[in-house]
Amino acid sequence: MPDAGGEHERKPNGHGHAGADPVDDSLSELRSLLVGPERRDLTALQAHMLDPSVQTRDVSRVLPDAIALRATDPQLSKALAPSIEVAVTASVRKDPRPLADALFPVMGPAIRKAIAHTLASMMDSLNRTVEHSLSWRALQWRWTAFQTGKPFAEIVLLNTLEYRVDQVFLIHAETGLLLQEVWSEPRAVRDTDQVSAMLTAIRDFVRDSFKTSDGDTLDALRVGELSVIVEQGPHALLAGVVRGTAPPSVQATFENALERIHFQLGTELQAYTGDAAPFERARPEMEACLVTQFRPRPQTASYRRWAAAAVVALLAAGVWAFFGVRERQRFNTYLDRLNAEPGIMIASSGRRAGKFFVAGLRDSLARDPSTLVAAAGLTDGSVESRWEPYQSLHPTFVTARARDLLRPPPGVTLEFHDGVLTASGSAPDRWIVESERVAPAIAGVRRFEYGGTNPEVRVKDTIESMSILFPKGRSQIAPDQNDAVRDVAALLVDLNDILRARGHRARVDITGHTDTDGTESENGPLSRARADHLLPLVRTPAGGAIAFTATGIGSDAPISTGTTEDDKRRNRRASFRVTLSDDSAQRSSRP
Amino acid sequence: MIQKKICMLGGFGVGKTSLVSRFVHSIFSDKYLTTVGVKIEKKSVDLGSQQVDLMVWDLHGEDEFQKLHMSYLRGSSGYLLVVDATRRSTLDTALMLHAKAKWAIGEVPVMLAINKTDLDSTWELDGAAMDQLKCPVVKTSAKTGDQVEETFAALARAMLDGRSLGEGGVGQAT
Repeated sequence: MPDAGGEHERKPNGHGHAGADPVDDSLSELRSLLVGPERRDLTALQAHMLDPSVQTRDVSRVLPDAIALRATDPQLSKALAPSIEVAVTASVRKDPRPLADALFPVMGPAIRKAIAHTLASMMDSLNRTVEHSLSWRALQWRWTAFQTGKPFAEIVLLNTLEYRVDQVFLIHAETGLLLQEVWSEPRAVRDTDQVSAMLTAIRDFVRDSFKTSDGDTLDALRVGELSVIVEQGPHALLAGVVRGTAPPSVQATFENALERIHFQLGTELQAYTGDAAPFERARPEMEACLVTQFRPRPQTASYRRWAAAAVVALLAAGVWAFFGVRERQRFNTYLDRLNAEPGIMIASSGRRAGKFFVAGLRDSLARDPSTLVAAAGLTDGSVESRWEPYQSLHPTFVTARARDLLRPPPGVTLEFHDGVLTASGSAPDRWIVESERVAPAIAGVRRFEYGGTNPEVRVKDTIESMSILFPKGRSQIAPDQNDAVRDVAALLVDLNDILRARGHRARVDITGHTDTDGTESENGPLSRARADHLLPLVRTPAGGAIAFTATGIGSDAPISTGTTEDDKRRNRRASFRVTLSDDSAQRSSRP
Repeated sequence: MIQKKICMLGGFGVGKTSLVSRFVHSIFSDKYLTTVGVKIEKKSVDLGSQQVDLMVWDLHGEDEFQKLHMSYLRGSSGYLLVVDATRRSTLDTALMLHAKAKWAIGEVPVMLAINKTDLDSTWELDGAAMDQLKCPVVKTSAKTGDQVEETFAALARAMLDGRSLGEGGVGQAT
């Protein structure tokens, strides 16, 4: 360095003063003696200053400290920003990977959060849309939307929203200028810069007008379903447009957000001169204030519960009705069967205290109603019955009772029709007569009839077919005729019984006959004597139903017209003629 | 984009509202002026290098019925005083308002607009009063729109520069 300095030193001298002068030399020497060291330093410093590589080294030594010293200075950030932007752009163009790698830990969670948020809100809105597009409420709302001409979504929102912070303004306290604004669609207020200013003006107006003490100011406005809540800070205020009724917790949210904004951006707020750019950073805090609270849905839940209950009830009612109807049908079937059953008369029926009941009359011979209950598909005990005994005039029962009472002999059948009990088959006269007497005592039986030949007629026919033979010329009965006389007498006793039972009467004419031998004057009295002789032998006791006559007609009515001895023997006889009363005669005419 | 608050001050009926109504966007009706005493308007000014949104607080003219709400002046970056060219008394009102504004917000850019210059019966500018004001003066006409844009632009520029318009500015326009 000193050598170089020496050269420098000499050069100008040599150049400036050719043809050296002793005075100059001595002056120069003096100068070098006096300020020599300083001159050398100066020269060295000059060289240092002019060497760029040295300067670079020097600046690199102080640059980190210098930047650290001015780190908070916005001027430095402003100065560096363009270079950094260019550098980042260049870096990305060259190879985006390093930057992407560096940002990855930051961007990953942020993207996930954003996607989750979007999906959640989409699901929520989808749920609501689905729910509201199907319910009864939704139909009402659609009608309202149609009537008012408002979009359906708005009607849904109005009806389901408890409150929602639609818009949040950050307003500079002193100037009333809008620093930042966030909103969720649909935006309630446009021209928000003017609104912010006006809001500030109105707050001032209110404070001036009401002369409130310091700090007291308007913190809420309400217009219809919209309200504005205002939170005042030292340098800024946070205003929110709220749809619906916001609870106090919303005000607290605003308060917290405003505090954080003041904490983060206090300096910027104080230094604000009209540039709102720094307040972009307040957006996250403000977005946190965009709260939406839907109405809790107990109504819906209860509506659902009610609907479910109604469905269950309907179902139960349906089942109940089905079983009820089925039971009712079965009961009706049971009643039909009862009605069809002879000997059962239903007086009343129905349902009482959950049980069917039936009351009426029942013939003791009728079928047991309880056996029909199960047959109709009803359970035992599901029907209460009360039966009063009665006698049915149904032919079956009348016949049954008659059979029970009359005990007809084997081969005899009984029939009942139209009040007449008819017996058919071969029956003893006594039974017939007894039945005639007893049968009218059976309920419903007016008369008893025997379907075969009338016993009176039968006996009459038998008696009339019989004759009692007499010996020739005599009026006494031959001993061989005693049996015949007894038979006739017995038949007459029967007839008398029958007639008496029936209240009938008859006349029995006993007629004596002779053969053709002899004269009529002889035969007449003989025939009469024969009748007279027989009469007491066959006569039934007096006071009976039969009246007797005894006559003789000689030989005028021969039984056999022959002239042989046998013919004559058969003609010597007594015959009988039974005349029944008109009634009996009538009956005898029946087939 | 820069936002600034400015106020319009002037006596009753000087035409403040008319002056700006053709050039500003407002969502509020004039009745705010008589009720709340202020009406907010927005005026965008393009200064070439930069756009400035002016939030214009059009304050109700002070008179015996309504007082100026001093709090409305707070935070204003500048203001425009308006006087009626046909009424000398409105200048006195403007001077008083100027004093009040200074007291409330300090030294900020201010301009005086002499309005209704399209009318004939204008009074001569009072030199002494002008000296008191110490601000640029423009002759405007709400009717023709003359000088209105320029006035706002000048005020905006002054506010951005952060200096008083005591001298120079659009003073030459007078």
